[in-house]
Amino acid sequence: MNIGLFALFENKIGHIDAFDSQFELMLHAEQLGFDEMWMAEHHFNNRSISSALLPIMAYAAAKTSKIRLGSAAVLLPFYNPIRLAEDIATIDLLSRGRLNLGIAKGGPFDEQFRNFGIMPDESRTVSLEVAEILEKLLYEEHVSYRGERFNLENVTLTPKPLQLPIPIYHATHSDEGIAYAARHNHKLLAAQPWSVEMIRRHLAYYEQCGGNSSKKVAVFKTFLVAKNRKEARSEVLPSIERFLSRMRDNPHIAHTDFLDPERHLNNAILGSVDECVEAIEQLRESVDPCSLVIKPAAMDNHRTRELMEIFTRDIRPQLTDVKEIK
Amino acid sequence: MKIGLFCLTEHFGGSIQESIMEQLRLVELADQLGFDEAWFGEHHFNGFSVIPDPAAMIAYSAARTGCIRLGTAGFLTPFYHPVRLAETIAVLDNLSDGRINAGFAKGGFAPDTRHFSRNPEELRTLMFETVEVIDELLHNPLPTSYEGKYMTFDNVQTQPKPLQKRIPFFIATFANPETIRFAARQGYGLLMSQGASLNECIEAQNLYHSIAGVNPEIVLMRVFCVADSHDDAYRIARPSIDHFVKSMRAASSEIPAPKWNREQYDAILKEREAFFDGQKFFDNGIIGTYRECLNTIKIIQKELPNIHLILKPSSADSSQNRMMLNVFNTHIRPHL
Repeated sequence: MNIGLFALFENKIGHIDAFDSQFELMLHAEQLGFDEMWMAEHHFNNRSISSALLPIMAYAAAKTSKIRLGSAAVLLPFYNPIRLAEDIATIDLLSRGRLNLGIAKGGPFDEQFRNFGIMPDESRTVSLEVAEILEKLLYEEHVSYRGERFNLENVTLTPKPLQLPIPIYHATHSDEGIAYAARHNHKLLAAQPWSVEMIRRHLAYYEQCGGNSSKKVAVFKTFLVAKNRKEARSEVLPSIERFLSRMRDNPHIAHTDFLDPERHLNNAILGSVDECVEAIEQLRESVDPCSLVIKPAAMDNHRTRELMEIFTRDIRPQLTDVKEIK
Repeated sequence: MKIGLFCLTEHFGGSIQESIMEQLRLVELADQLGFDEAWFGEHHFNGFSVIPDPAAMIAYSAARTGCIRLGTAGFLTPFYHPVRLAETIAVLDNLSDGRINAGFAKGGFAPDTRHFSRNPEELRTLMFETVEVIDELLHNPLPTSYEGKYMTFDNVQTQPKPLQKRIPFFIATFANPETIRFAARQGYGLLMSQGASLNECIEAQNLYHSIAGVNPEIVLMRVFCVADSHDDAYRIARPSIDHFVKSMRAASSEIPAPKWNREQYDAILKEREAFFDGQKFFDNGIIGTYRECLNTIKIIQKELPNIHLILKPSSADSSQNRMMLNVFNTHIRPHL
């Protein structure tokens, strides 16, 4: 199981601070021996400002040398598949083959669909078309394709990526998305508030669609270690509240249990060192993840660094099936 | 006068990855040598100039350099979504600590217009509209609404905002009056290609001045080859320029379908021919001994006061290109 860090480019003071402070954490993660760094794509959002995700990944490729760089996730319907394939191939070369490509169809955010000119109800179809074209363009010559949205005739891209193939991860909870991932031997991304039961259901369906679900899901988890679970819960609440406060105005989410802080607390990895180890071991036994990607639930960089250090020093060595750091 | 490096990521052999990394190392060298700017082209479906994603190249260079300004020459604007391109420019400006110059071009290679589903005759207007939207999105603190011939936006606010109060904008032109007028009205600079003659630049400058009342910033791309003798310089430059022109012709070899507007069609063809005329690259290049190069540059400088001279070292051998940048710094630049 790989250990990753989730980067949201949260804007606390000014823009430059969000990028600087996130990259400072990224370099620290690489030094600590984290295996992966996953970066989010958000648009029209002044608190999480990684809108142009691919240039950010190219920058990360130049700043780091070992850590794998993941998108979590590229929002497919808002890209032209040709340009996306060109950019992905370029970044795979710039990173010397360290790219993990997470893809999604875009969340329930009306603004994205309106401003990029996509109807929300076509986002799944467009998304799967872009995914299909993307993989053809990355590895094949003279690609032709006829879809509902895109028609391509005899397209050959240069450059081609270094990794053949680039690992692809779907952030999806729909049957259609999971079936697509299973058919293409892609992995899944599981979002922070997803319960173990939910991930298990997805993996069962993945198997049903003919996939082998062993080490097929990268699980994202809110993480906080404190003296005990009670203290951890009270420390983590403000950051969960901060996240949920952005979501409350969204009519698509307003009446769901997504806004219940308990749901987020219950599915986080929280508590003393031993409690965190136990929670991770349980997770490993239940869903056999390929990666555990932690999002330290701290309000500032200092505490985030501390949590990353505690994880590396006290938790990581106790985990089964995790690479030893030399 | 600003001095810059023109980057096309030319692939003469070996692996494509190495050619890309070599280009990026040359940008690092230019930064160390105190060059003011590096400008990146954009080419698609092209096995020779492998640079479909200049934003990734700039992002990488932003991480590896400290002072040099980084520009595009140019984003092939009609093939981008305006919102995404605005976000990209703003992110790059943040990552580079405010070192971005944004150059825009209209594109026009037949495979590009075909695969990105654009009508060649609409490219110029598409570019104007896209640039107008991007300017608003980046520089107007209020949400942007826009109604053009090809695009409509309602109340859009992109994030992040750029670091520079105003990102310098430049528009690529083959001395097209409509494009020059657009740039002059908006106060943008001009990008002129390796094939543009000094006279064409002067005419563009005059037209611009007649509208804007000031001379434009002109970013002028030039083939650059310095050697111990005049003949050596030409011997080094000839094969790579010849190869460049042939490769570009091959990349755009699909003949555009006949158009009803003969005049416009002819204009499009004329532009394309100018771009692929290898002889013009030579005639207008900065090629020869360092004294000859110096003289050529001084003539340009005299005629074009706000010039950014962007050198395209034109050897097929990367170590020779590095050497030429060094010679420029030691033997030419001090005399300018």
